[in-house]
Amino acid sequence: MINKHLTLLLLNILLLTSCQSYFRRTDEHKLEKICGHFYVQRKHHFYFENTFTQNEKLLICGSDVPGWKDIPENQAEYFLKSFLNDRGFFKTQLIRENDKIIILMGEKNKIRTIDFKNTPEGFFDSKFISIINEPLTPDNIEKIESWTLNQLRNHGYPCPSLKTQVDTKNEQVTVQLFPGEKERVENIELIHSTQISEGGISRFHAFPFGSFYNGQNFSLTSRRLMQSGLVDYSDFHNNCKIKDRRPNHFEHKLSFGYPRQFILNFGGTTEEYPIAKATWKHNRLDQHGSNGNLDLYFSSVKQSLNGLIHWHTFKNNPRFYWTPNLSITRYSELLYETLSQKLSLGLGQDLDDSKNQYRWSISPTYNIEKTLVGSGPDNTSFFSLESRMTLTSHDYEYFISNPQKGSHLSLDWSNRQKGLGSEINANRYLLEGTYLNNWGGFKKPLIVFGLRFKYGVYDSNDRVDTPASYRLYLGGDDDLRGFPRKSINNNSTGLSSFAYLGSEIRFLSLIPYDLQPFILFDIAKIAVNNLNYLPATLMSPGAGMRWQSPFGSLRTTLAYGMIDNHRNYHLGPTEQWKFFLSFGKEF
Amino acid sequence: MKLLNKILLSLIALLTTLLLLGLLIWFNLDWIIQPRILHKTQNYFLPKAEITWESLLINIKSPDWISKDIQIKTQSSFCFNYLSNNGCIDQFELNIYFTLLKLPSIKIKKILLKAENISLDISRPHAKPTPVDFFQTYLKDFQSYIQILLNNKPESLAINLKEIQLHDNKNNFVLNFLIDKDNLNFSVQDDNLNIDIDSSFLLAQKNNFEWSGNINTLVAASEFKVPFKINISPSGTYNFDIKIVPKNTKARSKTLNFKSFVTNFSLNIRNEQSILLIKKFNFRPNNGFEAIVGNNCKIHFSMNDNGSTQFNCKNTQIKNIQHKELETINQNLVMVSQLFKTIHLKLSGYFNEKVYFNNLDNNIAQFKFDLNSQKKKVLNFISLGDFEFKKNNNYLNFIINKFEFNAELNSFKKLVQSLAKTDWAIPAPLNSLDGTVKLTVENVEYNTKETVLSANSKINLSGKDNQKLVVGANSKINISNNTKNAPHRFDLTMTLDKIHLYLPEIDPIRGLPSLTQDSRFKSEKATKKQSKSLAIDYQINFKTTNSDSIKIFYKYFIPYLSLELSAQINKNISNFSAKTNAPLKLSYLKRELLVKKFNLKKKKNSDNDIDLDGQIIYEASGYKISIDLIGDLEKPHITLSSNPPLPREDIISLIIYKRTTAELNPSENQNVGNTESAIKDRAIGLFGIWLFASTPIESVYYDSNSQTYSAQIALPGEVKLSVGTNWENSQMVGIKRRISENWSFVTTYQTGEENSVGNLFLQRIFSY
Repeated sequence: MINKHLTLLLLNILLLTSCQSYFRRTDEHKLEKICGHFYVQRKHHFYFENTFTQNEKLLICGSDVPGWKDIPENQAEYFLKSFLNDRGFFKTQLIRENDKIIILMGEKNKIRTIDFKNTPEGFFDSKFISIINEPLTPDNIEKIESWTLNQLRNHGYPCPSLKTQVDTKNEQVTVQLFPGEKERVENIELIHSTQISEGGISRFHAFPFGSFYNGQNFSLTSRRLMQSGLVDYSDFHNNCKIKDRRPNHFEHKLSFGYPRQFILNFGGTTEEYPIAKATWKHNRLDQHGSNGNLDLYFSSVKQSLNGLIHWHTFKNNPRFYWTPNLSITRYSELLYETLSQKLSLGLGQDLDDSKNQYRWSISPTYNIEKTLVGSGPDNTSFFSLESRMTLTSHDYEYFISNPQKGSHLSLDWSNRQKGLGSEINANRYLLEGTYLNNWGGFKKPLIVFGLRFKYGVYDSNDRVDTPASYRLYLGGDDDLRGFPRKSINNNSTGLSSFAYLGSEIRFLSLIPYDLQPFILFDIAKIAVNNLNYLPATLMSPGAGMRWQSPFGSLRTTLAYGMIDNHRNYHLGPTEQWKFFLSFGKEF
Repeated sequence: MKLLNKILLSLIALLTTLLLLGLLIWFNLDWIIQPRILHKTQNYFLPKAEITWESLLINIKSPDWISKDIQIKTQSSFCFNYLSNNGCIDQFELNIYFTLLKLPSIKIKKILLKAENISLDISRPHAKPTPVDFFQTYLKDFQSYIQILLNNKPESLAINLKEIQLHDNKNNFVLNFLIDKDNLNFSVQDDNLNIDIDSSFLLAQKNNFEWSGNINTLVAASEFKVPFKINISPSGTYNFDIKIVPKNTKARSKTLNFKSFVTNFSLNIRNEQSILLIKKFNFRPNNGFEAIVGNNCKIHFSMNDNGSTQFNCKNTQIKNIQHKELETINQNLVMVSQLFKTIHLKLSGYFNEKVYFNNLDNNIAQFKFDLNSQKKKVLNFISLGDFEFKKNNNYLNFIINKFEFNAELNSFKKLVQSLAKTDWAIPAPLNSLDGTVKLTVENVEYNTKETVLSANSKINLSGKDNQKLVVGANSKINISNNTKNAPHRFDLTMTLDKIHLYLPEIDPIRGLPSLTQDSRFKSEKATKKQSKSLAIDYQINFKTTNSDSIKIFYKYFIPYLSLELSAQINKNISNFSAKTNAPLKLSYLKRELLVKKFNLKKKKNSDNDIDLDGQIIYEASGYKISIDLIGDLEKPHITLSSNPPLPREDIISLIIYKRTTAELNPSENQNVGNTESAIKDRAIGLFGIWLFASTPIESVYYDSNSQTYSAQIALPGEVKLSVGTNWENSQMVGIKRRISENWSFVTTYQTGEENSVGNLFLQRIFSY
């Protein structure tokens, strides 16, 4: 019986091997018929893209249209060569064997060198190498031209032009740049903005007036406007094609839709699954573009109702705003379950220079919090002052859906003062930052190096009466990725301080299909009393995969939670492997 | 008498003195033939020359009273330098023997020559020889050298010459000789002419020399290998056996496109008349004919001015691949007296026998050709004229006094069939037409500067389904005698009466094929073409005779596109204009557009830019929209207007969605905004406009920074296509992807809230 199986197995292996060698042999010499006498012989059969299109075949092979039934061979040859040139084949040869005309494709010509001429200062701060060794096709030349124009527009030249010449013999592309005048943003003319005041629009500007023109900042401004829901469409026009163009003057085109929206969202992660969110929005409460939201959020971890108004009342300071906010939130964490109600009236301001956005806000808040499960006060109410400062670079914001460069820094401060509507004194500080670096500065990044940190301090003499949402925890996809969510919690009472540093090296061009593997390493130190840090070090080495899918990013991580030097302390979790899957979440 | 005696005595004394002097010299030849005397003689006649005579050792022996044996050999290198000739002979030895009674016959006993790197100037100070000079002088000279060599074979012969450079103003030949008593091997290389000859020369039987070898040469970018064998007899008969085979047969040359040429002929050079006898030739082209085969063609050349030349070639056969039959041309050229006097040419095969020349006296030739196709009268051909030949010094001038030419191709289809498999095949859709083509050369004027030829032609072709091509042309061709002073010139005026043709059923949405190479791409051929400037001026004008002379039929044109066209093209600039005079309905994917105006005009002072002036009318939801296109054809300026009047974005909304913006959802509004921005930046070309107006658009993305757009189009049968320019950048930074009319994937980013860095949601927005 065994012999029989073994014989069958051997036969199968032999059959498979012979089939494989047969196909390999035939593929090397396989002639693919195009039509009529025309055959094509390819060097790399499996890797060649689609053959001739239906439209192209009409011109090579003829059709029933009067006059186009018989295409002479020399005309068909001419068309064939043109079509192949369009695909980067410039070394094709035609040979005749009996009644067959065989097209030997030869190797594709590649883009070996790109010579940029008349480049302005700073032009090469981003490198465009991803096109090198790609086929010498009109499409790829357009990519080079598009990148070149983009670079010039990002360096102060709103109306650049260029002339490209391709030397197919030497496989060289020469791009002659005509940057035009470098201009500053001095005047922006709003088109179709009768519904909203000028300030209501300018508060979204990602650039200050007087700064050099930067196309990326203009795009970012448009995106902010559309994302806010204030407008359906926004775009800036440089009017380069107009004869009497005014320098330093730009047009801002806006298109307004209905002011009210009802939005349904569905999503999920391995930490919060599933997520459903319904939002009612009014995007134009007044002519300054104030808006009001009412969110209903539901997930396995959080269920909330949140009403928020961004109220821009200062006519001369459109970037100042009030934020009246009412929220009712129930958290259903493994560690605790709470019901929290907050009423606040905040004041905030956004500022932009040509590289960064600065934002601050301060909100006196009345909190009512019930602890349903876990440690914490059963029912408490208190006043707090919630303050927040952020610095976000425009690069970070622009590439937020495909992170590759820029930085983000934020500082949160929550303060409760005994006697000011609170029974205890408590301060919670949370300093967070992320830094992303596109290694080598390539247009299509090869490697992205990411670094993030969190430093938190909770300073209070009464940890028992501190509501769960005020406490400091570690663990989960947001920090220590080798540990479960909020699992570093000092027996559910929270930490007095922690210092966390996470790093990630992501390889964007290593494997195809936009799959981006990465390696990660997180490290943290914790303190359970005051700022006395424990000798134990928490680490999470691991790896992950990010997929830039056509509809958004998917990320997975697998990391091992390690605790070094922890014999005398019970930190909660044990050493373990942890897997996370998230949608849209980035490092 | 005394005087006579005195003169006689003086003569006897002079003769005696001369005889004594002669005897003295004869017995003491070494007095004269010695390096010092040779040096002085050279200084007198060639003062600029530098020759190392002192390196020669001359030994003169007298075997008897009447004989001399002279040996000249080098002791050291014998060097010379005169004008562009210079070099050193490493070893030289010449031993000759002669006797007084047999003079001028000289016996060469030994020749020994060994030299390297000698440079010799072979340029001739005078004008090039005429063909007559060539036959009269050079071939005769060559013949006499051969004769001397055959009659005076040295007893010992050893010549070894390496790297001998023969140069004139243009060319530089490098020769290598290796000669011994019975054979001579030599090779010639010339880089300018791309020629490389490697051959041997040996004495065959009965004093016949046989010269054989290989010639490798590069002509018109084609590499040829020519094995040859030439037999030279003392009687002056040269037998040639030559085969020409292009080496690179796979990569076909456009200019020299043949498989092989094999010939065997003999040339007999005599004083009065030379005879060229082509015993056999076989020419095998690549296309069209299989072979042209002939044998026993005889040409008698006169070797003097008053002689006659005869040509006789029978049994020439053309093997035709297409018709699988043999055509035979029998030609008899009877007599050419005083170069050209009377010519009678008998032709059979393709043509009837109606060709004759007469009145060839006084160097004037009158002629008439009247050729009719023998079988189906495909081609009729009549030509009349007279030429004048004048001999001016050594040149033969050719003057055309009168020339008329009428050719009529009765069946264009036959021509199409004949050329079908060749490089000159008539392209589609013209190859489906049949009819007549007439060509008339009306007049030829000749002067010392140029020859002017006036011609006109008429093409009248038609095909199935109302295809027509009716074109008339008048042309004038000036052939310059000296292109350095004045280039050739070609003037052509064409009147386009009717051009009614069909376009293939290309579906534009599925990608327009690239019929010409992208202008940004510079191929090797184009670079070479650019570097070569043609010495020809031309002016080509063409114009339609009426407003619908040109009718283009196409699947989506209802009923057809009619055009009025005019163009002027010359070497420096080309101008053209094309305009429609009748509205054209475009029907595509159940949408209809009316092209009311579509005029194209080449911009002045521009190489390629074409100006467009067009108007398209589109009706949707009770609105009549006018799309005016002005400016650059590739990226026109688009003006939109409507009746009743609407804002621009509403017009775009109507074009894309057949609804105004008030009825759109936010993502549709974004598509309208993107389209409007793209139109304003002129990122959308003519094709894009048509596409947007004629197809159901699902989404439009536009990145104003890189000025690239992309549109997703829904075609019937759930087929979705993306068209537009590259929009990689937009894709990269975008945070919203539409997946259907109402649903999108959105990545939301919120700050200031714990655990809310980013989330991916499937989203639907209701706006009101």
